[in-house]
Amino acid sequence: MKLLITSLEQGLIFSILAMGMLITYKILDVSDLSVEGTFPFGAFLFARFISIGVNPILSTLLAFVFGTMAGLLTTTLFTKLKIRPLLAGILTMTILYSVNLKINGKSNIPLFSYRSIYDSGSTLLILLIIVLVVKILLDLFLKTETGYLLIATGDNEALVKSLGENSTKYKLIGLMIANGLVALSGALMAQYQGFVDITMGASIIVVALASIIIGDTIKKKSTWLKNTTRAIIGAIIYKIIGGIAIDLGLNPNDLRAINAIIVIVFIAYNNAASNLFRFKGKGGVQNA
Amino acid sequence: MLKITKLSKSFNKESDNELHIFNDFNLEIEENKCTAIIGPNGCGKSTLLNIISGSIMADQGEIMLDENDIGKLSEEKRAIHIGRVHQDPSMGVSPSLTILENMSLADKKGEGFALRKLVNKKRIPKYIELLKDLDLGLEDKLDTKVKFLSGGQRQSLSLIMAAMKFPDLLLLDEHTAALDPKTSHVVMSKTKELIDKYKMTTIMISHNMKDAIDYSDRVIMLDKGEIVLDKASKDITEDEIMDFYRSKLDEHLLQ
Amino acid sequence: MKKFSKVILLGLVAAVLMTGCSVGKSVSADDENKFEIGIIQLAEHPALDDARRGFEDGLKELGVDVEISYQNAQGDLPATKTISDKFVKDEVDLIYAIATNAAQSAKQATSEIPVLFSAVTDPVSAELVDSMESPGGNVTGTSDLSPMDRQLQLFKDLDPNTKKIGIIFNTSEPNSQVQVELAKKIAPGLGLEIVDVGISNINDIPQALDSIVNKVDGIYTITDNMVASAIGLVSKKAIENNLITIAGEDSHVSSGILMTDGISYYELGKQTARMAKEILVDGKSPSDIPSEKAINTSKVFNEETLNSLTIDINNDVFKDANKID
Repeated sequence: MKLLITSLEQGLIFSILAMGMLITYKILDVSDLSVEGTFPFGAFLFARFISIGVNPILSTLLAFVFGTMAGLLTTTLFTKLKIRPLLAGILTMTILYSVNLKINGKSNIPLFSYRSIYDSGSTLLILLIIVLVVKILLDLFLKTETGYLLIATGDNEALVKSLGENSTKYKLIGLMIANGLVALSGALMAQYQGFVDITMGASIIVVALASIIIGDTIKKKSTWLKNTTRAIIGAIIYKIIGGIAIDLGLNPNDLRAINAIIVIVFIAYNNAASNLFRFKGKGGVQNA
Repeated sequence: MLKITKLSKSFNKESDNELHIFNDFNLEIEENKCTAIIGPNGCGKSTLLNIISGSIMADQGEIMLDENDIGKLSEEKRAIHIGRVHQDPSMGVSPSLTILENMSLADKKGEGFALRKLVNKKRIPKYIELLKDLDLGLEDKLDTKVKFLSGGQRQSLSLIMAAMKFPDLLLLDEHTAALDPKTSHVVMSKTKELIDKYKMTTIMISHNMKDAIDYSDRVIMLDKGEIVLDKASKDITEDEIMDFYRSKLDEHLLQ
Repeated sequence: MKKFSKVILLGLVAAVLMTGCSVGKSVSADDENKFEIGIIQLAEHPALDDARRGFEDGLKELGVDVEISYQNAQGDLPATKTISDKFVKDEVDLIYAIATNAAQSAKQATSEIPVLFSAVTDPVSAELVDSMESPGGNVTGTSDLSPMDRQLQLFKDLDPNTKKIGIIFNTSEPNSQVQVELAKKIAPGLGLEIVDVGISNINDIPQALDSIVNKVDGIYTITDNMVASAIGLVSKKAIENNLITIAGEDSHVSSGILMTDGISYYELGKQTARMAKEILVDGKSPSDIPSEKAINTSKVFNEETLNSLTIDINNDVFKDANKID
């Protein structure tokens, strides 16, 4: 049971990361690879604030706020300097690596002596509340005029222009919110594991994408609202399966491969299922 | 009313391949009427439309829309006054959103977008009324995602979305060219109904001469960036246009 | 399609229930005297592997009867948390954590089960212990901080004219920064100056090396996972430029570095095993066991490198040194 709870908790922390990636990867259709730098960025920011005496809740919020700056940087790089978004994200990640080291002057910061956001009660419950709040806010946002324009930007920029709006503005908003969420996730992880380390971001993009992909395979009835739910469920499932692998005492050397295989299995299932669906529904859907 | 004065545009400037499209071009489009622009490929009709909409910037010249100098405005700023339907049915809509959501977006054009709920339930009867005019049954599919609609349905929706806020100018950019003949006919007649009903100032680019005559008030033919034919639609027949067109072609061959 | 997802769901539920009952650690009659130890290792790496083997062999030599469960996190930090939690759930008698992040995760996971760490350069700044003498908690262990003063002194012993020493390090490893700062502190007292180059990617090593070979008289290799992976290259470039190389640990010398007066991770592991015995068999509490640095250091040198650098083997330095295989 305890292990299930650990996996659930980690899944909840990563679900915020997944919701952030949802905005860039799925909605805006922009590959933002800066997450590997933004995730620890949030953690290092948290460490800085908590070490100068700011309370854990405010420190965590500030990590979100400053985290949005990473999105600002990436967007500036690809709009003002006309660098490809993919490359822009990598550049931001590279810059953040140095920034992270500079924030506290060290690559590893123990947090054992500081308070954390989980002190006030059950970690699981607190995480559940945080994730629900984030989800609800995000869902509400995506139902606003601005939110819909963000979706339209990812769908068809020509439409956004014809509505008299600048699509770049919405890419900026999307990237800022996304990176803020990734940084928030990093700050929550730091408090959870008890320390901040510069290697925290390694392979994090795999976790995020895996969560989104797994979430997509769950029951195909989709509205934009459900996408956030799917990201959450996907992250939790991914972590639970990983946790089971560890608990079964599987060969430690195979751990990384297993995580990759999980993703592949779900993608394959996804493809197989949609092929079946297309085959079945060929008659009904396409006629005028 | 749209008034274009002394328009000049060339591509690949200062190179061996410099292409002059327009040179001191002038054109006045009447209000509340539909003007068709036809011509062979490369005559400049698409370029003209792009210059009017702002996708391309002119080198010189003035573009006045109802006393507003729009020539200096960016494409998105002009879009508030101009509605455009593209040839590609997917360009005028957001495929992953529903019909209702798409129309709600179009409904907000010119009013500014903010952190308010987009879909206004009170406007739904209005949307249904607009969709009913199309006779395509779309009014029953408000919650269907646009990506599941056919090309003709999407184009009809694009038309409504472009016209919904009564733009000062409606641009139809070969908007039925990608549809099959039957659907094309349906969309064209619906287009005519719409522009007649709301008396919209419209420029329609067409590659189909019969459509140009049947559905417009005035026909203009361009050739190499110049107006070579300008007649009221009732004063000319399809055969006359074809003869004229052929003679122009012979001219080119002889050159 | 629906059937398939049901099957997956059932499979997941079954697996979860299975692990909930935790079949792995069943206690039978003759297991009752065995101590259960959970070993959590941060990553695959020769030094860390040595620390583990030394620990296991040390326990055997001391006659402590143990059942060991070994998990390697493959560098994945969230995995270190999951593994630590697993050991806590399995109610092991002791957790042995190899490397700083593994130890930090173990500390976060439990304040009751004794935790022994090894291969942690600075346990105090990692906040694993309050101080080396009085750990103050359930965590203690061995530090791999090498006797750097002795090692840097070797440069002067081999060539009194040595002035500038180059150090390459991985900016992502906290232990490395600690060592570089220590080197900079010690160097002036020995009449040396440190030229350091920090890198974040193993692909940067060739360039980093090229940038310092002309500026320094010798190269010192610290205990750094990234440097360890590229030791062969470091040694090759040094020999090409006729630079003396001194290592922070003996595994480097096997790979071509000239010499070290340093620690052996294997021995460090054994040293930690002794602490394990005190906790498990003698019933001591970790807070009463001071954290230790490596007790034994040994001079080892690489004969092939020595010949390539044309150094005189009759130099006093090599009197008590052993050739490495």
